[in-house]
Amino acid sequence: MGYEPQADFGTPAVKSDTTVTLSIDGRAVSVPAGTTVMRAAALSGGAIPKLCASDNLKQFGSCRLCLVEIDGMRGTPASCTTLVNEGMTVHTETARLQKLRRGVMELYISDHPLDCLTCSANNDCELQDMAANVGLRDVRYGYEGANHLGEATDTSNPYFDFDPSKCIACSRCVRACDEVQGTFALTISGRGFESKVSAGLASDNFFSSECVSCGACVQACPTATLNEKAIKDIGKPERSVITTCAYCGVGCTFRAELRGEQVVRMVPWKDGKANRGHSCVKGRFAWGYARHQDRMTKPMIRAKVTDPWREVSWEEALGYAAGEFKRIAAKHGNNALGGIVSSRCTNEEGFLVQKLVRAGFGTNNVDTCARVCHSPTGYGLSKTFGTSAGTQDFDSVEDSDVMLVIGANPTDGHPVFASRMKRRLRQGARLIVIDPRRTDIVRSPHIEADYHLPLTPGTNVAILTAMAHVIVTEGLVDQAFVAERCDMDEFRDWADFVSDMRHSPEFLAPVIGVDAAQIRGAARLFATGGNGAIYYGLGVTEHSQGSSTVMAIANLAMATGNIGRRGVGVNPLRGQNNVQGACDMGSFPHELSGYRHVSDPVARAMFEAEWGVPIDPEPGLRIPNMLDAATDGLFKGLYIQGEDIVQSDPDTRHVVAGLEAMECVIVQDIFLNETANYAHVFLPGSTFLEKSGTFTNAERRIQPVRKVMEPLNGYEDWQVTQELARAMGLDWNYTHASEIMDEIARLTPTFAGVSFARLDQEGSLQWPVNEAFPDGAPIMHVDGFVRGKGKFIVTEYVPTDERTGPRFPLLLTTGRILSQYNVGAQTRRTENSAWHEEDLLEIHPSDAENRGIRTGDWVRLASRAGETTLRATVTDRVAPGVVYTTFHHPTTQANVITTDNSDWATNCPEYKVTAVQITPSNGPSQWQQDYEAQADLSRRIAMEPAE
Amino acid sequence: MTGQVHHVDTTAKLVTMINQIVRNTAREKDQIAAIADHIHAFWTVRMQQQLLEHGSTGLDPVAVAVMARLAPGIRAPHDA
Repeated sequence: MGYEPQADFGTPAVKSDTTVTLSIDGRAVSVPAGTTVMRAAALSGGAIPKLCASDNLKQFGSCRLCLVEIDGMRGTPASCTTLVNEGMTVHTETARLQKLRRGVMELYISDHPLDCLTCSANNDCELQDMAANVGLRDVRYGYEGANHLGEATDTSNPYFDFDPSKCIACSRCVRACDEVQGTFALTISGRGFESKVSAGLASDNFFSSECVSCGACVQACPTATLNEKAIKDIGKPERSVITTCAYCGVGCTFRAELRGEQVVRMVPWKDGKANRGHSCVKGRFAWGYARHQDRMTKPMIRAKVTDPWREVSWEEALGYAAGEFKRIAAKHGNNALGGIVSSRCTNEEGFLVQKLVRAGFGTNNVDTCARVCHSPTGYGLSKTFGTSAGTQDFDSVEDSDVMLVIGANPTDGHPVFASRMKRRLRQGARLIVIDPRRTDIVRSPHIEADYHLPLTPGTNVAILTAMAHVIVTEGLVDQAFVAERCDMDEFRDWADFVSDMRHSPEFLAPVIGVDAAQIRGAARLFATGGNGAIYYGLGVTEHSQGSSTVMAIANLAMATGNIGRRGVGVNPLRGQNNVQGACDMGSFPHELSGYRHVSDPVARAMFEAEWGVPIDPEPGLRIPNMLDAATDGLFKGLYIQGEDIVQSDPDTRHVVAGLEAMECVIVQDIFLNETANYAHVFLPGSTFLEKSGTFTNAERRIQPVRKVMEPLNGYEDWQVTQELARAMGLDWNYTHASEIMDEIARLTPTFAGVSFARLDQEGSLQWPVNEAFPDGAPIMHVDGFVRGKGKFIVTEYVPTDERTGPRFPLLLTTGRILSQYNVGAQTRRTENSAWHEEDLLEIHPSDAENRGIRTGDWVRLASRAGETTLRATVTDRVAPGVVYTTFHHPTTQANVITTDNSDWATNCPEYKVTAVQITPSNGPSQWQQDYEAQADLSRRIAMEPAE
Repeated sequence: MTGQVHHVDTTAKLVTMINQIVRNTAREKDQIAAIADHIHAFWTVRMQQQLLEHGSTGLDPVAVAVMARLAPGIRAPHDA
């Protein structure tokens, strides 16, 4: 695709059952009633000049450029604020209009630098386009009068500059911040000639203000006032490629805009169905890691992890890896081998890794990092509804009346969807937040949660059962829905269980740590407030009762009839870009793609016929079990694609012990990550910009990932897996990722209708895509649950084994921050670190005072599993008795602290509850210093002797 | 970190896991069958065998009953 600005129809689309026909410059145009004249003209191919209008913003009517004449109407109304009428006759280009527009443009240009030839937006500037459009040839007022040309440029943001001398005060940036992002960080300060865009207070610049760098203002700006630094450095893009972001589970679609082989910028694609043209600071700006100096591009091997790495050819590396794995299998058996694939990888890569493990290694020992985040979602929703996935699309939120957000921090973790939630909340939807922390969505401009229930970490099941108690005992159950859609015997058992007085809010309040009246109020609101949608994240799943909590959520949705239509549903917010896809692709050790258990002979037979090898009918090892088996001397070889288990998995010391006990660890990654410190073979990987494939987001939306530039290492990741398979003797001959998807479609009933050609045609598809749902299913369980009748499951609250006591009196919970992502491998190698250069410990003022701790102090964070040090920040965002930190930086190693407690059903780690003690410290611990030294030692690469 | 000794009692972890499953499935109508199905679906044969060889020490009585039910179907690890 060449470089063309994305189409802008001036004002937003409207929905109406009534069509209006009018005449515009002699053309008959039919549009939905309520459409503006501006949009109708643009849709009919005759765009009207404009500056302050954009089709992702409400009509504003300030620039006076879009004036039109309408028969029978006086004056020259603004087309952006005038709605169409049946039979209306509009004229957009008359001598009178041209004169008026030239006059308006003269005023704009009289206070605008005439540096077009050297301006970074030259030939990509709406002001320039409009000046040409209206035929401006001269400015009668001259340029000597009072103007803003001397205003200083604000360069404080790492990614874009603000040059007020070029500002035309159209307010598009301010409105984008308000309406699209919902942060309200910008305003127009001053009046008349003094009007100017201002970020935060007068003393602020963009960086110090509340701006979250989503890029909406930059995208909205019609001049070079807000412009990416990359445009200034590299130049205007020449071509673009549509692809999908590789960060969180929202799955934003972007236009990668390039000049030659160089990405200039990533611009959210307006036709993207997950993001609807919006972005966050990560997807929009934090892609520079793809060309970071730390990128590894050459294969390396070493006999011992204490040896320096030795760069070798692909042939030697793959031959060595295959030889080692074959030796291990011959000596210790097939079950001494296994593989792990990251949820950051594409569907095609995930499918190939599990195929290599099952068909090549001859074992089901394959797992994915979804194990450590959303495995309870798969288990819980499969048991209750019959499908291991969320029930809605993101658009559904537009019809929600009450949102229940539990264990999720969408403004940091899923910011683009959070903006859509906030937009709906500003329209009047109600909000319940269940979270130990006061997350940003609890209270932000024009939004305040009706209920924030700051429960004690580890009591999710108790609070959901207490809410269910209120709903059942106060007669708020949707009896008609339950009678029609659910198993009544199971419902009665569940209703009896939750009705017991020991599940009342009053009885459980001391355990939960939330006032009973608040719990009752929240339950009543959810049950009676209209369409109720539940959104949850890892604060639900990463607990010893993660699966029970998911089932309790499903119970609540069924009891209130909130399933099977727009505006409702159970919505897991997936942490990584392809968590859903990794689970779909058979990356778990007990099931094949499409969630069919390995013991299912019919499913197994399909794969055996396609692959020509027998499939083991017994489940394989999960990640923690692989590590256990390794320390027992039974598991010897591990192939890890794109996952950094040393940093991301709990109880780091155990992870390291497991890896150290193995004879051959193969790491395939773009960087020498922490896990690579314990690897024997390193295979360089490729970024999402360098390969083809698909990601499946949190709404089951399968979206294309398109190669934007050639991989630095020479191969796409699926090709590396194929070469490893071939080195092990498998006859794989895929020539493109699309052929892998074709195989997935042949073997996976829910993907039967998916192909790259179909995705190119549709843009994206939400599975299931098959004979029953040829165009996919935005909303599931519409006429009935996939499993037949919805299953209520009794979820008894079982306190975690992790208890506070005199030695460890505080509860640590962990999470992520907006600017960083997961273990930080990508975002730490971008300018995003300007916002978060280290992990900090949040501690309540009373807990801090008791310990003599102030903001900025080094503190020792100790648990039964280990200890580390980091700096503290004192805040009442956390409740007394609770502390919080992120896990983005390897030097902090927050997972040294977390224990090996896990979910009872899936072994998803209990990251969210660790008993700890905090004490003042002098700085990084000896352990941290030793770790850094060891990591440096492990990353040595042997120099080739000089010729 | 290389060279540090980190002892893990993996059998004790299996005991913890099955006891945890018992506590979280207490309301199942046929709890023993439900847990047996769960373990059969998600645990490797070797894990089942390891717990069987461990015996009943530390196991919840329900877990002991589950293992007794599973025992005839569990093959030795070398058969897996």
